[in-house]
Amino acid sequence: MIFLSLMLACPKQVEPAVDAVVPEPVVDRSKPAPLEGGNFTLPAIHTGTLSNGMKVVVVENHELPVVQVRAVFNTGSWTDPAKHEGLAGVSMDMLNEGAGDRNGKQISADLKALASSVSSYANADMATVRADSLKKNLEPTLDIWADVLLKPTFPKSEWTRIQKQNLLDLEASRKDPDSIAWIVTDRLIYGDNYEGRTTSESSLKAINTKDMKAWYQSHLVPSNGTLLVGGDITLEEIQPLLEERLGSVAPGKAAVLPTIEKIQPTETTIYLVDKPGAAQSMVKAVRFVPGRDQPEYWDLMVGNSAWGGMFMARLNMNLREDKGYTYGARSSIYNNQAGALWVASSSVQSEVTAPAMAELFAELADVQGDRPLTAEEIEYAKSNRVLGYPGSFETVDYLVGSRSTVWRYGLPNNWEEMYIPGVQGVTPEKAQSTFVEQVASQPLVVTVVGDLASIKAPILELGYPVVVLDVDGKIVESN
Amino acid sequence: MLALAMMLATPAAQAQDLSIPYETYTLDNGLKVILSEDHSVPVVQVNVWYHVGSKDEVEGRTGFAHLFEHLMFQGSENNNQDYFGNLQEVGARVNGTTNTDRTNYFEGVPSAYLPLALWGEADRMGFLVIDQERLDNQKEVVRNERRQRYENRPFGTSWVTLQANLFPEGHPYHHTTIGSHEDLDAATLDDVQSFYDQWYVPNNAVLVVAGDFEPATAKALIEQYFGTIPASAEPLPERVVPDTHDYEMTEEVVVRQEEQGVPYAQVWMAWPSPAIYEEGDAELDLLSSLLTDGKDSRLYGKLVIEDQIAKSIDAYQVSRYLDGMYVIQAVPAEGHTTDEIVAATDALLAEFMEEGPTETEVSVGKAQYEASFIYGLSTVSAKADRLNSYNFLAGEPDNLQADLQRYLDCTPETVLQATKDTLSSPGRVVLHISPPAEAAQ
Repeated sequence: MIFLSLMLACPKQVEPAVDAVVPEPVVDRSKPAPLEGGNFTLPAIHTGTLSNGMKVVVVENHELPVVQVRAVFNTGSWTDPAKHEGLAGVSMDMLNEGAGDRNGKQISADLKALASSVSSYANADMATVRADSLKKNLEPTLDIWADVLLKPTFPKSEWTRIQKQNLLDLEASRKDPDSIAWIVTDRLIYGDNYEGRTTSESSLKAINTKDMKAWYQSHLVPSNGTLLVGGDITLEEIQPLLEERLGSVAPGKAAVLPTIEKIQPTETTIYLVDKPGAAQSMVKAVRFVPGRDQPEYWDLMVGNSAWGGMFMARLNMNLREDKGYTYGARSSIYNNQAGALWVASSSVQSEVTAPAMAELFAELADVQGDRPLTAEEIEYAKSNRVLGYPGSFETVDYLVGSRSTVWRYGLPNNWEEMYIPGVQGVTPEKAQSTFVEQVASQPLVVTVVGDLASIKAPILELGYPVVVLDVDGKIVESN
Repeated sequence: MLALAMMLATPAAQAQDLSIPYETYTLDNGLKVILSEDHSVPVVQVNVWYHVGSKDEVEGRTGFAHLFEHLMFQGSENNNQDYFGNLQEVGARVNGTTNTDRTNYFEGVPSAYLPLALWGEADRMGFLVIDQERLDNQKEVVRNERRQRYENRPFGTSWVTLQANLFPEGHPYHHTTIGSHEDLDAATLDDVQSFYDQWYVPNNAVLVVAGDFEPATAKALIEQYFGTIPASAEPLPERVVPDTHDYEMTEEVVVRQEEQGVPYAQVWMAWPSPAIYEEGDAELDLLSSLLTDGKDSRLYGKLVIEDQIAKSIDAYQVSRYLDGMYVIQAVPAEGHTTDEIVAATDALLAEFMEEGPTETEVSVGKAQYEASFIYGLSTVSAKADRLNSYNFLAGEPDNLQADLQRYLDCTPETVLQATKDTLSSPGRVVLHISPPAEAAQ
């Protein structure tokens, strides 16, 4: 216990003055060394199979008397047919609007009485039907969950209501700077496929409950999904409960999934979308980078961490802590079905939009030139990743969510074990060279949503091609 | 080490008490310490509350408590760099927040780095570096926070208007925590120094250490780093705490705002309500559950599901230290107006106040709260903050069971009474925000 010896040093007083105040004890206030300990073991993963072939994956966590069950499917809004964009999302939303013998109101009331929840949703890459329950109410909750999963009725009357709500939500997304920036960016990098096909008023109006049923029947089949369970439960406990409810459902055959095309930028171009009177401009810069299945993945992840992936990284320290242009700036790597997308993002004060963008470009130029990422910065980023990792494994939500990522993207089953060695294996040289090669030296798609009347002229002076788009990504003007 | 693993194996009526085990003591300088071991993950949480918030700001300095929070991250004498610097390196999750009532700072660090976290917190408690450059920079950052989170977000400034109208001038909640650009800009170094001297003293702070640590080690470190920080020279300022029932709203205030950049209209109805832990506070939470939680709830079920005049509606009690506010917030469905929503809500509330809730509605609400107390304990950081919160508001760090008991003790009669006490008052604010008339569809 090293610190004890440092605590108090008794000063010797040769000649105490009459009214001497008791001297301040000397406290060592230099940065302390760490203690010993803090061992971490990853939670065990238990796997079983139902008689129809569906896999069951269980991660135990007995801290609280709660259980989470997710049925996840290899589908998502990525499968939306043309002119029916939004179909996967609204079909999943509709599952708990009526299932088995219950209408939506009864489902809601029965769940409320159990203090449980059953939710169903789709994102681009995955569809999920999820139950959260206190352990004591698990069985009746699973009954409702299984009905929602297996016997949805897609009532027309509820769709009429939800359709109207979705149309208003769509309206709202067209007013939100971050949503606008994403809609426009997705159209630029995916064109008419994958996330480039965004839900529109006309597509929402074109969808009916028959479409939903057809989508549901060809996507939410056991052969296309898996069951993920976490919390105060064991495989031995949960498997019979799931077998009883799902085991006899035929595996089925899933619809053929579409392929994805990506449009990598060939010349850095700035795309502007007008938001008159905006107090800030939303700036995003993106390009595709190697994903988790590529050898460069760990190098790039660490290099990006040091350049822009955390508070202390160059990007935020410049734009926020030095210039005060923004509340925050980060760059991240989003992994999805299309691979991986590097994104630098910040909401900056309107009047300094062009200077903030100039700083972003300068940071990318500097890392290729005078200021390569230093060994110190890289070791710092690695340490952040490695030491911060164990703390993630605290909630049932994270444990189950992590398994869904591993399953959905076909990652090695010991992915969580690979993480720390993966990061530790990165050298400063590789992190620097990979970040430059994959990001800093490459063309970017840059979108800016803000008050064009005040920000456009200075942005033109940055010297990049500039294109003005509307909120749907259609070209208004090219400079 | 959470003592509730077996708790819900038995029916609710005989359930074992919820609890967060802890020990507490106070240093000579007045710093209260609360320790709570929990070895579920190899992380230790350090969580410091200073009992000062935007309610304590002086005239012309709205937003200052929060601006000051930012300055606490700008460096101290022995750690003279960005506060995140030493902590992000060890993978810590670090932040601070300010609300009307208090300011908190917290970091979750790998267990071995407890000394680092305590050293950092102590250094900024005792030895903050205050200079003009840092102040000027953080003024800009905070003003950009205001732009990002309030001004550039649809409906982002609704709470500024609500509080300004619900709480009279002079009331500590009349302004919101973010403050005004003008006041933020006016802050001086003297303001910073005197705020620090006045409020950031050990006798106005409480330190919680929760998670994976050895108590003997933690105690020695706490004594080492915090023990010699002097208590405030002057006694803590008398808080200007208005009697919570000093002001009475007797008339309805209707505010109609047109806002560029909102996609549709929205309405807020807000009533003055009991402060946290006052009589009626828990009852109003149960009221919210039966009004707008679920498709069979009274208000949501009627306005959104059945009549479909609203796209969404939410009711909630905002429980705060000095005074509460009860809010019903709704978006009209396409083709309907905020005025229709207000009329329909008033009619439904009048009817409800005639008959009161059913036994079932109240017992289902209780089940909801019982579960939410359990889910609220899923992270050690949440437990650490809860210990500090209970200590501040209830004077007892482990007030979990007593808090839950407030809900379990509710009856249809007490819920009805609380509803009448709060919602039958004519004094309320109704805020309508809509797109500019020419842009409306």
